[in-house]
Amino acid sequence: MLEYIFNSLINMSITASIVALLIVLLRWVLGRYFNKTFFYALWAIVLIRLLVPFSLPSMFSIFNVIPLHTEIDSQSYIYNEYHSNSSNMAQQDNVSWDMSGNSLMNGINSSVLLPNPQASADPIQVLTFVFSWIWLIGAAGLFIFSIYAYLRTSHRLNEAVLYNNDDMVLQCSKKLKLTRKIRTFTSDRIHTPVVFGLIKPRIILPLEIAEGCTESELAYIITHELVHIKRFDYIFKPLFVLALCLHWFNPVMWLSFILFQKDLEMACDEKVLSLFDTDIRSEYASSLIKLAAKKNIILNGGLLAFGESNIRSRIKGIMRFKKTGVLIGIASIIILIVIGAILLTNGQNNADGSIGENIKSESNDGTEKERIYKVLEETDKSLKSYETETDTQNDGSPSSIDNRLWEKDGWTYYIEQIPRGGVIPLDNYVGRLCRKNGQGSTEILDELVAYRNNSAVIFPAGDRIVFMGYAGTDVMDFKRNVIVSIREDGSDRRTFNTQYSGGRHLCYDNGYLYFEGWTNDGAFPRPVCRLDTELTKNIKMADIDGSFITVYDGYAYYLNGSIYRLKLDWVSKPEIWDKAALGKKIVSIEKTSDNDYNVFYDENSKPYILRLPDEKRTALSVIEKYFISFEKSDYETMMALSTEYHNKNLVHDNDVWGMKWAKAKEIKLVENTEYLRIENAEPTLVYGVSVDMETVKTSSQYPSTSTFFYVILVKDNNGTWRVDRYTTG
Amino acid sequence: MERIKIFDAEYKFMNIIWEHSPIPSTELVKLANQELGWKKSTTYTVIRRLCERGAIKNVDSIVYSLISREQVMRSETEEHLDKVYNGSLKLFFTAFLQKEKLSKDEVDELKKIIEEYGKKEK
Repeated sequence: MLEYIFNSLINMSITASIVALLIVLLRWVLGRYFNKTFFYALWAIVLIRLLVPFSLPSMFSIFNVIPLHTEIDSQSYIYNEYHSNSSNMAQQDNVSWDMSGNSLMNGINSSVLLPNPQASADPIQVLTFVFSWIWLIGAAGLFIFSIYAYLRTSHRLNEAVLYNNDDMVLQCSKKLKLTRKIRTFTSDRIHTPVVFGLIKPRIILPLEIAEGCTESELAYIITHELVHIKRFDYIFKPLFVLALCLHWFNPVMWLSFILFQKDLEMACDEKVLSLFDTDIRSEYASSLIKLAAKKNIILNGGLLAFGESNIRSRIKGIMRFKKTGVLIGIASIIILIVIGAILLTNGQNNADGSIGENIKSESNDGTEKERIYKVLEETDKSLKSYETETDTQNDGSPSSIDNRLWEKDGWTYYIEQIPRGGVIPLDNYVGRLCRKNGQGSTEILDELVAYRNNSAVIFPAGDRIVFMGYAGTDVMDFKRNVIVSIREDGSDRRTFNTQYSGGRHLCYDNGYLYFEGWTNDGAFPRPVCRLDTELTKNIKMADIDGSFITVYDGYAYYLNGSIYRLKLDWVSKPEIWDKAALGKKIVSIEKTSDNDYNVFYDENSKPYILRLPDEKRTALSVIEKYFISFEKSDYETMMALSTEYHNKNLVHDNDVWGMKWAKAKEIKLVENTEYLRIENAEPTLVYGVSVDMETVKTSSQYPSTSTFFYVILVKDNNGTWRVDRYTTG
Repeated sequence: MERIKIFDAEYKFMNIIWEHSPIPSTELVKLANQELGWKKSTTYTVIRRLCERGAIKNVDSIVYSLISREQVMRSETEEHLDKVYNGSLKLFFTAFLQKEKLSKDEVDELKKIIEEYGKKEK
């Protein structure tokens, strides 16, 4: 929760900074041509950006040009990049390790073993956590201090004494067309006139001014304060301070605050000058000097001591002032509206419209991706380091690589790396697959094995050899990996064109190839596809809720916190195969019997987790638990997982919805629920469930023993997913 | 004769007391509100402070003056530098102008600026 708030705040801070810097630029370029009121109005945009966490999308927005979620995009970009690399990396061990034929071990090793022992637990998450607490403590501290300072000051100003000069105030109010009745006080505890009070603002004059100034000077001062009141400056300024408390870590905002204050006072001066019919600039400026120079005390330094001395710029501003012509006035307003439309709104290049929303969801995804990526990256690093450790002959120069792959029927298969050049892009290598026999004859089997990070994905698959390669030698072909299958003698070359960087974690089991399909944003669940070794038939087998590792001996393995394994009927309930894999580096795995493995962990390694934050995931675990209880007719547990509506209407003494028990054979998320016409205020998810069951005699289904229906889950106010009702659709 | 230092606001408040002493504190609150614009709590705070300094006493909710005008030494607040107070003035309140340390040279320079601009116009 905190991290979430922190994330949105950072986003607000970034957008506000961009807006603020643009205003600073405008101020610098147009400062001469426009009056300060114009710039003062612009600061309001920053203030809104700082405090309001959402804003409207618009086609005019600056954020159509400046991509707001640069980092997020780059994350997913890197992530996809990673994918494209990883397909090669994932099975590098097939090349550099001996092929004992136990591809599960290799698969697991490549995905799980390799995370670097130095990789900390979810490093990004930990950082976010730490930073968000630092931010919170800072913000809360500043806020409490502000309140304290404000109250202390209020306490003193409360003792100011009513100043009986109503005529003067009335006259000035009239000039301003200010209808509110403002009371004026004097106090000997301040040395500058201030507006005090957030609800009922009043003017407080220093005693010395009230007693020692001329009538006209007093009129200027009071008018100035009344302008502040009329413009609600006395509210905006504390609001900005509040924003500063929240964005205290952002130096651009402190700069903005200083400039905002300057523009605020100068804009106020301009208004005062324009109210008087005669030219009062010299007088007004002189009284400013007189007031400022009266006593050399206290208030200097600190926040206001930035750039040109305040009084100097104000006096210059006053003396330069010209009453704005109608044209410039209209121009200012139009420009303001345009700039407002540009800077206040968000880009609309996203499907769901509001970027405010987007930032939220993306930042969540973003960190998640980043985390996963981090894990994968560490894998990558350690993989490289592994390479350098084991493959000492490899001094990094491509041509010297001579990787033995495996031996079969007297042939030794190996890869020879071709020096890159010509049409081959720099970040790609092409290996040449060769085999050699004892008689010294050498055959070149294929020229186009994709070779990256000093490793290639290549393995024998039945009587064929399968590897990641390229479709052809055109430069564009090198952008895309394809799955290649050749006969052992190199003939009958077939390619299968996966989508860009598809074929991640390509592996072979029992006559079939398996790989993780490519999704646009690396989102979960991810498709796992099956392909025959002749590359003729590609079938998507399942969407799995995790990161696919490999298929071995009739089971698919994937990582999601723990290592899960899934029967190749793809619909059974996935079982946790190795819970302990969570968080530890695996040193080695030994198969002891058919279903028994010894897994050795590095006890010193730091834990890492790949866990999905997906709503669907939490909902799925609810419905899974629900049906496990249903199998045992444990209605009580079922009711605890369900809504009140469900418990009242579906549950009876001996059945739920006519079923004594029901065993879920398949639970599948229904993506398109439109035809089910679900009308719920709360968020809903629909799962299609196939069950074996026993019905009661009154049931319309009696006596059938299996059926299919939809289960509707709703999210309650506490964010818990609950089973709400069934429907047959 | 013992003299008591009193600030402006307190002096104005004392004026009311002198005029009406002895006066029930509720009455005093009303008068302070009318003439000084004070809230009830402010009035009570000042009463307490003046009691502590021996300028008045408050017995059974009736306020008596203990000193005469002559015994009062009106003093201007030379508030010692209080950073919190001054800082919050700057932060929260729109002020006509913040005091700045201006040397005589600077004042002259600023005046020159005013003159120059004034001349240009004519």
